[in-house]
Order: sequence, then structure tokens, then C-alpha cells
Amino acid sequence: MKRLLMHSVAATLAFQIAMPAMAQDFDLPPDLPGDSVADLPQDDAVAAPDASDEVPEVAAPGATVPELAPATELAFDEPDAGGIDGLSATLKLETRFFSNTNLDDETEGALRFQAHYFGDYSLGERASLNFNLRARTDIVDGQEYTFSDDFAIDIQELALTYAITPGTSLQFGRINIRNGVATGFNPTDWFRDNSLVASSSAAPADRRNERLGVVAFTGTTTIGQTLIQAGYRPEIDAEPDTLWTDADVIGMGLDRTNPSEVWFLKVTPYINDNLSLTANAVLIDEDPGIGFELSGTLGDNLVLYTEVMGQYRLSLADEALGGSLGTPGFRDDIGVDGDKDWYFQAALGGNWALPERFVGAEDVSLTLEYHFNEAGLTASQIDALSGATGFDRMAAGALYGVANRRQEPLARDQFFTRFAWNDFVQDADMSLLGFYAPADNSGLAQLSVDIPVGRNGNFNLRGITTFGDDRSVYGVNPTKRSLQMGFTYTF
Amino acid sequence: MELDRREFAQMMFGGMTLAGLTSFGLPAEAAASAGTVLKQADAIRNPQTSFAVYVKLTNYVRGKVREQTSVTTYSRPTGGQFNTLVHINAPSADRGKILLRNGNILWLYDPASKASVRISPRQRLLGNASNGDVVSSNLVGDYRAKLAGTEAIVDGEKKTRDCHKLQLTQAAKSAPYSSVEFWVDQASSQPVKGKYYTNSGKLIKVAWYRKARNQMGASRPTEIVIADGFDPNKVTVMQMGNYRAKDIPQSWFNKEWLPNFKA
Repeated sequence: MKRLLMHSVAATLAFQIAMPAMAQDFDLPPDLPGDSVADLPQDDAVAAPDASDEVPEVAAPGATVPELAPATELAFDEPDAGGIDGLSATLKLETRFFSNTNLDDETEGALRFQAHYFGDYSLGERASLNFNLRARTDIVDGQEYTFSDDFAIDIQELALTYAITPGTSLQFGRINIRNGVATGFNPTDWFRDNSLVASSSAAPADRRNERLGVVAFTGTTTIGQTLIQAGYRPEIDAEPDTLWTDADVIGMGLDRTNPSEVWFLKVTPYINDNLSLTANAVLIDEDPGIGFELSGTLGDNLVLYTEVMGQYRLSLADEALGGSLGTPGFRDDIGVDGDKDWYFQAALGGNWALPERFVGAEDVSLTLEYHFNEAGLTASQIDALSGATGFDRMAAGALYGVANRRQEPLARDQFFTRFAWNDFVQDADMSLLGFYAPADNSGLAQLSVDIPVGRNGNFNLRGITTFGDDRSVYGVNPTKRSLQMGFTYTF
Repeated sequence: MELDRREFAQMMFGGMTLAGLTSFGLPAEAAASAGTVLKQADAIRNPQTSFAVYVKLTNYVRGKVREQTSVTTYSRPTGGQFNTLVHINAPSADRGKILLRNGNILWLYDPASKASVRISPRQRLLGNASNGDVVSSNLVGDYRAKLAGTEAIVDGEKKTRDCHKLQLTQAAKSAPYSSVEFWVDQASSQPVKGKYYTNSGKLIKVAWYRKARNQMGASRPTEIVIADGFDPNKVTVMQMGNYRAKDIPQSWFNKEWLPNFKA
């Protein structure tokens, strides 16, 4: 989250100071240009304290936060951005260039422009409108640009919130309901299926920004120290090629996000000042699921977490192949039995912020996770999948597609790691992440570097590559390598 | 892992240490006095009721402004400590993100993705200021205090002040530092300076508390200058303003509530 501020030369000179006038034992405070900057306006009118313990008079509620006085280079945006009363919103504009290489080692270029506008608009004391909108267009080298096909507006979220009391609220509309504490895979994230609108990154954090919310009605309240959420997602059955589904430009994709009726419940009790637990239950049509996420810290540096979900459902192979796809032998080899069953998924891992004795004041962290997907394929089933021939190749393709759509590991066992070094050169951040499927030694790696430009700009370099043979869990990905350059400006 | 050892040692020897303070000759009244001095300084650093305050952080590297962040913190006292929400107002790329602290539980919430990420106290979000600096906290309870005499030191405004010198050692696992040397003005109980150390005894940062102003019924420091103990070229200035009492429900301090938070 660090942003580099590149002021004008003049401004920089104005704030240039000598080396801090302090000895190494810090006997003296440093000389700072801030010393010449006006203080934040203070509430000097308040009476000086006396011996009483009474709560003193304070500034009027709702008083706006004052701006810093004269030093314009140091001035900050008002907390409510946008210039409209009640509107708190962020607009991000991004340009991204892709150079993608496919499995045949053919490379093509593409350019994407997108605008992402999200925030909320207050509708009085108790109500607000939450929105998250995206417009994007892709220009692909060698393909004719057609506005209707290549330009899209995504209504990722659009929901009304109403606060009944300060601790109880209702929400209705398209909402991004996201669960989970793990980084690489979230078994408890029920609504990830078919939710991605555009994908340029393998990083789960990026992909979370690129998903469609579900149309739902939810309520949140607190009983004692336990926070309870309940909600309902209706099934929406709409005609294809309409605004509600996949019409050109502004198809809302409700058939994707609301394909079935869902009731859900989340309970977050207070355990202690270290452990955090959220338990959940879900009913998808008539199929139940139950799960939890648990996290805690060990020392100042290590966060450990796990999340587990059990659901009555079809395995990936059963869902993909249905009742008829693939030869009987192939179906047997990859475990298709046509029945729903209880399948468990789990993510177990930790995030370690390297301590000062290793990295000094540097901000370096390492994440390691193990992912288990009982609905995925074992090593022998993956072997059978990679050996598919003839008609079974189509069945294999369907299985890869379902795992991708559901955003869950195709392999039963998988590892994930992420190494992050913030400010590794000045204020530039670097991250390296990888997924690895031990069943066939395939995986995916992504290196990303973010270089802040000015207060609001960010230049991003990203490289993604898969490894493993062309029929492995990750090697089958049609994009073998991707090199990207992006620039984002945030208003 | 080290905390395990520390916790173990604390569990095994904590009581003995406290008992030992008197048995090894430190006057009981001095020990009590150290706690009183620290408590008074805490009451000046933070109002001991629910409150909100606007905080602006400016990071300097070699004297140049490198980064600026403005946040509003919402704090609610609980069991001698505070639960805190830090809402980021600027820069725009981080606008709306929220840092939640509830005991040793820290979550970072991103409004764009509705995702909350559990982070460790070690991870920094706001330049040289640690999460522990930005969230409201009392030193009493987190640290055992011992009077280490009086000392005339140069304060943040380069004036010499007569101070109590307190030696603080970590008493709660949520305390961000292993030990602290802390100077408190003898006459006014104003916090003046703190030197913060890691487990290995390395000086990690030095803070000067200055520019006392009347805020919520007390004269409080409205600026903290934080020098990086590893790199003296790095300095962060925290400016606080617009302290105000605010009733903050306990339910806000739950990561599942964060999507409902309205600044």
C-alpha cells in the first residue's frame, strides 16, 4: 500500500533538509520540513482538563476533518472524495499491454483499457447505495475490433444497505459476498463459481477484484459478542442474449451468478483476542454444506489459518462429464460414478512476516499453503486424464473447463506460495507466487513488480508462466506465458 | 516461535518477576509510582473513552517527503486497552481500506474486493509507523513499568525538560515491542519521548511527542516524530487532529462487519 510521492523539483527542494540533526543515539529529534508546516487545526477551544473524570465537551458530531493549512504539497484529499455530498468513491483507469504465448509457441499482443468505479453513496442517516462498476475493452492483435463484442460494462455490485440500528443492517441487490481467510484457495467462498469477469492475473488478490457479485438479500446483526449473518440468493432464470444474461456490452450475467437458490448463515463468535473463527452453513438448492475458517497469530510475525468446507455435491469429474460424456473406461479411470456425495475441501497455511533480525526494517513476508480438494482428481486419475485420446479428449477438456469455472484445484492436493517484498527498491513492491500440483509436477508462477508513479499512478510489470507438460494440470493452460505492462491511475 | 519462549517464560516467571521487584529492593512506592506515571501519560496520549481522531502520516527519506497517508481512527476502550478501526482516507489508491485491530487480531479490508486479509503485527502498512503506532493503545497493561530515575532530556521542540524515565518491558503478547524506554514530563505528565526495542535489544524506533494542544478535555500531543532505528534517514511524522467523542458499537470490531462500515 505504499505510494511513492514524486513532487515537482521545486517542491522537493523546498522540503529538502539536511541529514537529520540527530546523533545515532537519538538524543535530539530530527529537523524536519514539517516543523515549518502549519499544524493540523486543533480544538483549542476545549477547556483545559481539570481533576474531574467527566467526559468533556467535544467538537460537534459530523464536523468535517479540516484540511492542512498552507503547505499545498502536504495537503490531503478530503475523506469524502468526489465532490458530491455523501459520495465516497474511487475511480481507477488502467491500460494494460499483454504479450501472450500459447502452447504452440505463437505469440500475440493485446491491449486492454478499463475503468473501475466503486464506492458508496449515502442516502441519508441509515441507507446507502453500494456500487462497483467496470467498463473494459480489449483490442487483440490480428483480430478485427467489434464494439459489441469487445466492449463490456460489468455491474459487479449494486446494492442498497439499510442500517436498522448501528449494529444491525440489511442489504439487497448485487453483492460481492466473499468468505475465507486463506490466500490461494478459499473452500468457504461459496459464490466464486463462474464469477470472474476478466482475468489478467493468477494472483488471488487480483482475481477477487474481477468477480461478479450475486443478487441476494442479507442481514447482519450482533447478539452479545457474536456476529450473525444470514442471507438468501434466489435462482434467476433469464433468457439468453438479454440484459439480464449475456447481451452485448452490458449483459449482467445473472444466469452465471444466480443459477440456483441458496440460503446461508455465518456465525462469528468472540473467542479471545487472538483466535478468529467464522462458522458457516449453506443450502444450495437442496444440497447442504458446512464449514469454518479459523486464524490466529503466533508471536508478532506469524499468522496461521485454516478453512474447511464439506458440501454435498458432485465431484468435478461427475459434474463435467455428466451422464454420457467420455468412454466407459475413461469415466471409470477418472472416478465418475454419477452420484452426489459429501466432499471436503481445505486450505491450511500461514503467513510469516520475516523478523527484524533477518531483514532489518524491510517488509518481507512469505505465505505457504496446502490445498485439499476431495472433489478433485487423485494422481492416478490425473494420469488417466492426461492420457485421454479421441472422444475422451473432449471429455477431458470439459473437466478442465469446470475446474476453471469453479475456481477450485483440479488436483486433489496442491501447494501455494507467495513471497512479497514491499519497498524492495525505493517504494517499489515485488511479489512472486506459485501454484504446484505434485501429482504431475506441474504448476504456475507469477512475478509482479509495482512501481508507484506520483501520488496516484502505478506502473506494473507482470510475468506469468506455467510449467509441466501440455496435458498436465497447469501445463494444459492455453496461455503458456504472459508478459504484461500496465499503468493504473487512481482518482 | 520466539514468542512461545517468551510466553512460556512469562508464564513461568512472570509472577516471580513482579514479586521480585520488591524483594530485590525496589521500593514498593516507586513501583506504584511508575504505574501511576505511565497511566497518567496514557490518559494524555489517548482519551480513555470511545473517540475518533484524524491522523496524517508523512514519511521522509533523507529529508524528502516520500509518502503521505491520512486516516481516521475509531477507538473503543475495552478491558484497559482499545479496539481500533483505521479508515484510510488518502492516498486515493488506498481510499476506503480499513485496518481492524481487536486484541492481537489484525485484519486489512479492501472495499474493492470485499476481502479481509489477516495480517501480523509485524507487517507495516503505513511507512515507518507500525500498526501498533497507528492504532490506539495504552502502555499500561501491555508493559511492566519500572522507574529508572529522573533525567533532563531534549524534547521534540528541542527544549530541555525534567522527566521521569520509565523502563517498560513487554507484559502482553499484543504489545508490539519487547521493551521501551519512556520519558514523561515530571510536572505535566506529558509523554515526551520513547525508545522502542526488539527482542534482541535492537533499537527499532525513537518517538518524540510534541505540540501539545487541548483536545477532548486534555492537553495532548498532536504530533509524533518517529525516527527509524535501523535507518536514521527515515522519519515519519504523525499529526493528530479533530479528536471527538464517538459512540462506537462493539460489532464494528468484527471483520465480518467491515463491508457494512460507513466512515
